[in-house]
Amino acid sequence: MAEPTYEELKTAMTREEVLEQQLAIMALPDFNLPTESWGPTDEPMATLAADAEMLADLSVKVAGIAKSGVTADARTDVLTIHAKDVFDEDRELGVNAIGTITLTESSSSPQSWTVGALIVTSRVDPTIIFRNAALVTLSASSSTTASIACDDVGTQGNVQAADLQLVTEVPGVALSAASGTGWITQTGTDDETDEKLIARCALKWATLVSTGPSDAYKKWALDADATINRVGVTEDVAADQTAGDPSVTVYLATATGAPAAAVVTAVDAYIQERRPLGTLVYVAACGTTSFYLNGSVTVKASKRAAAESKINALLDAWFAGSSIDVNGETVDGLGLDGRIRIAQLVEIVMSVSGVTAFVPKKLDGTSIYRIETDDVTSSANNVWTLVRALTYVEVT
Amino acid sequence: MATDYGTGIASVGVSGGLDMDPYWRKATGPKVVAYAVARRLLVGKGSLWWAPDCGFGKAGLMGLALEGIRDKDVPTIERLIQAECEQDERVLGASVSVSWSSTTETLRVDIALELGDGPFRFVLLASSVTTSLLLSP
Repeated sequence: MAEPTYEELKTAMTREEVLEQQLAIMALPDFNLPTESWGPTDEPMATLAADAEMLADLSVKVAGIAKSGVTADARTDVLTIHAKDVFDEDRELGVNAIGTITLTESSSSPQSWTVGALIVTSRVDPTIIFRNAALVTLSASSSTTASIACDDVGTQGNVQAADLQLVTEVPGVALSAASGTGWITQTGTDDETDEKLIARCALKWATLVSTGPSDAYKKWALDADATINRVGVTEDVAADQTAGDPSVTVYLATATGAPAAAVVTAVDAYIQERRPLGTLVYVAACGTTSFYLNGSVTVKASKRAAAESKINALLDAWFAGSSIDVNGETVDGLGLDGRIRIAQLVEIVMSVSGVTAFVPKKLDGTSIYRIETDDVTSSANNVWTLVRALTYVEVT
Repeated sequence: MATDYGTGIASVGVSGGLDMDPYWRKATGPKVVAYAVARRLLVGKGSLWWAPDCGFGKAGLMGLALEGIRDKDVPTIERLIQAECEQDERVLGASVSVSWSSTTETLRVDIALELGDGPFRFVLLASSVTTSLLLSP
């Protein structure tokens, strides 16, 4: 048997594929077993199915081990270990949301909650649970504030104040909080994605040289703040640094567009500590440009809802700069190069199950984008904001 | 010339369903079909990932025995069992008779399979914990 290629090693077999291969082997002349006549409940099938399940599970593990040595392919915990071991990079861990609520007692009945006993949840998603981290005492006919923390790390804890509710209602006790997300004192963040950790690892080498290549600035910006997911770097070799003109400008973008001023300030401070001597660096938020996506999507009626939801999810992720899976291939999220390739846009929409045709149209809703010639461009170091105006045509 | 239904390993009723014959005795002729059909009726539909369309009800006949049966449901159950029997491509047709003993909480299913060589009868007795398979000689 030939040594497996890396491509074969990293591709796990499904149990269905294993079973098919087992049956094919047993039907070979050496064995000549009547596999075609085995019914689904016959003993050989049950035995083979059990083996297939085990072998497929083993195949997943083999693929995981194979990919653990390759930065671009490693995922989850294995990637965390690989990043630390090879690049000395730690995955940025998320934090849970913490906020302050107000409890008001109006029935002359004092209340108190020991640590963890005051449980608040979201009306929208009751699996999101908050608890008090300290004793809360509420005197009769009075109000008090309480700090509550989400049980789980992540952005899901950034709940709107209007959606907060006590899990067990206490007669005479009302909950209130500063409107919107104003009640939150620590915003919940997710663990760093595999995609961003891989990007930071790949850029690590650039930080080890003293001349400051553009990848070094990208790495520093990504390191400095967890929300930064895209970085653009420009160089002005003719800059008059004595007059304060920067020779390097670093543009920052988050998944939702331009970062807040505080983030820019923090990243600036981080980079200034590391920049090569003699280089004047300016750190700025990226600009934003709207992309109006008109056009019609023809979709099978039975799959309309699922297809529309999937298209929205794919496009939102793509515009946010995240890699997406399109027909089994990874398509990189939109960066800061100021270009949208129409062919890629069409491929993304057409990859969704149930979609039979897609005609992308321009802002006027009439002119059609042509794949070969109508790629959309804007200034570099701008992020795109998607304005969707797709119509759906259902067919049977 | 007798129809070749294939060769399999005989099944025996045990606690929890049907098991392979402990002596690995081979089965041929219409009994092979009866064993296959009986096993098909004892697994829930969708429980075999390699054959998701195979099976009867949520948890097979034993699951049905566990839930109990109302008299008015008997005709529907008979039709469903008949349809599942006919999923085996060797079965040309099937007639099914179901009776339920609420005293012993046992389900009795009399099945007559119409095969290429003629009819073949067998009986499946299922409770929530055990199964018996009685074949024609």
